[in-house]
Amino acid sequence: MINEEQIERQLKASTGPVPRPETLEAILARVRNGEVSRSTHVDIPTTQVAASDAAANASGPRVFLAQAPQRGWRMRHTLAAAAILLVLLGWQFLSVQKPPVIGFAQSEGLLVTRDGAQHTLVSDEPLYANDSVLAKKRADIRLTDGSSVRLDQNTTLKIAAVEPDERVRLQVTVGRIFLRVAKATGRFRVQAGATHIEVLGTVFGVSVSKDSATTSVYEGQVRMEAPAGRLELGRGDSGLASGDSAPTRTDIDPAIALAWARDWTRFQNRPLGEVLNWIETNSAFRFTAAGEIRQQPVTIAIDQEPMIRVVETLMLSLNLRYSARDNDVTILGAN
Amino acid sequence: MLMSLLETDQELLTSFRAGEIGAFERLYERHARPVLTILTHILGDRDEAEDELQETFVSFAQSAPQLGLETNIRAYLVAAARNRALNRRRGRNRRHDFARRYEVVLQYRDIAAHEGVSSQAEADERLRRLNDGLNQLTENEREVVLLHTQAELTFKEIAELLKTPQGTVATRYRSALSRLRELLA
Repeated sequence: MINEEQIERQLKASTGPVPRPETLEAILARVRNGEVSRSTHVDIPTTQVAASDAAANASGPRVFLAQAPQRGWRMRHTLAAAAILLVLLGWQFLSVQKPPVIGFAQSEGLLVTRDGAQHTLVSDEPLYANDSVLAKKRADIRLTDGSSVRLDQNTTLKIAAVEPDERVRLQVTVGRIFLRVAKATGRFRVQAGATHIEVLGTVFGVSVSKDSATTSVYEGQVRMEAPAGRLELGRGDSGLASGDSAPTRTDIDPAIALAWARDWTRFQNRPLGEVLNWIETNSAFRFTAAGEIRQQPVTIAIDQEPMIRVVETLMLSLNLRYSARDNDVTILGAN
Repeated sequence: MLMSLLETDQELLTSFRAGEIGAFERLYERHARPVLTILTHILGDRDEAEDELQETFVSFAQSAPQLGLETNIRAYLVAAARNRALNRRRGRNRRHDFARRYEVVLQYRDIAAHEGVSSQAEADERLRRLNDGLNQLTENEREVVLLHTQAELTFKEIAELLKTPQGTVATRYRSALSRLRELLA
């Protein structure tokens, strides 16, 4: 009888298919030619040979490599030198002309405005400094420093050019973003109206409306700076900034404020019974509780894992006594 | 060969950026196989998987100058390949697509796989049953199993890739192993 550990060891000791040699050849040919990726096959030049032998070709990918015409070695060397020079010049030209890549779209639904023109991004397409993006639906961006940004529907965000000591500067015009900022050198800044938010290694969200910007911190630390003052926010804090006035703390619970981005289930002033039913549906827990306890109003954002912690937090926050045997929980009443 | 074993992905990326095409080849050797496994799983078609493998690495070469050195290249390639494969699959004729079986076939690469068997024939039979079991899992279960055991992504990396809570990924993985145990019993 095989157990799960043995199955795992077997899986890890196994491997998938070996790529066909002609795939690498085709990739190298395209990389050497400075060709860019596309979704169709490699163009077939006028003079061509199959990249592999007949047997491999019968089942191989539909890729062909160009066969160089026969020339003298002097001519070949001259052409090679010219090609290298052109590639180097082209590389330098591109690096001068193109703004740096700041991140990559991770989902569809982002409308980008670049150099006055608009187009819809597909997954994995790069985003450059000075791009403005509008999320037509909830969308994700992965930044090159490893950070990730989730944009709520109808959020407008500009990826601003960075100052020498910065790695990322985002400007939120309107909408909500949720950020998981990677720990790295350089300042990570978010601008929301007149307010600047500076972060390092933090999970937080910014909600921007016409008149105000709210920042909610789930993990780490954030500093909100407005012309009239600054405010340090830590884990579990939220701050509100309106116009040029100094930011102030608010009693918004970040778990509730950020629930939209975290795939959490949110209950606001709902009967406890409704929350217990939801937990029963999504786990093996079964609850026994009197009717009046089930009517007690609850505000909570629930992450599905681990559910035992959700139950403990729920009981603790409502100050309820309970007894548990395996997955059967009996709620006894208030402490 | 020793050099390629000692070089980190970041060192290879730096060398490739400096124009050393051999460094790119070594990155390909290191990552192409798991990426192809994931592509084969999603597309269920070897030719299409090889096509997308090609596109993924050409795209990676194009993006290399802009990639941060701290980028996890394996996770980056797997994510890029997965996005491409899903887009390609979405573009297919649905009826034609429905008829496909998304199979992936693993083979042993390590002596550890021969644990507890006394002959090659026995090992082959166990591998055949493992593949059968793997292909009977749900697509989501199989994906997590392949991402963890073949692409060697951590649960955290898989969670970020699938935009799913890490605990859900771990639960799905354990559930898949449990089903495999039942299927192989």
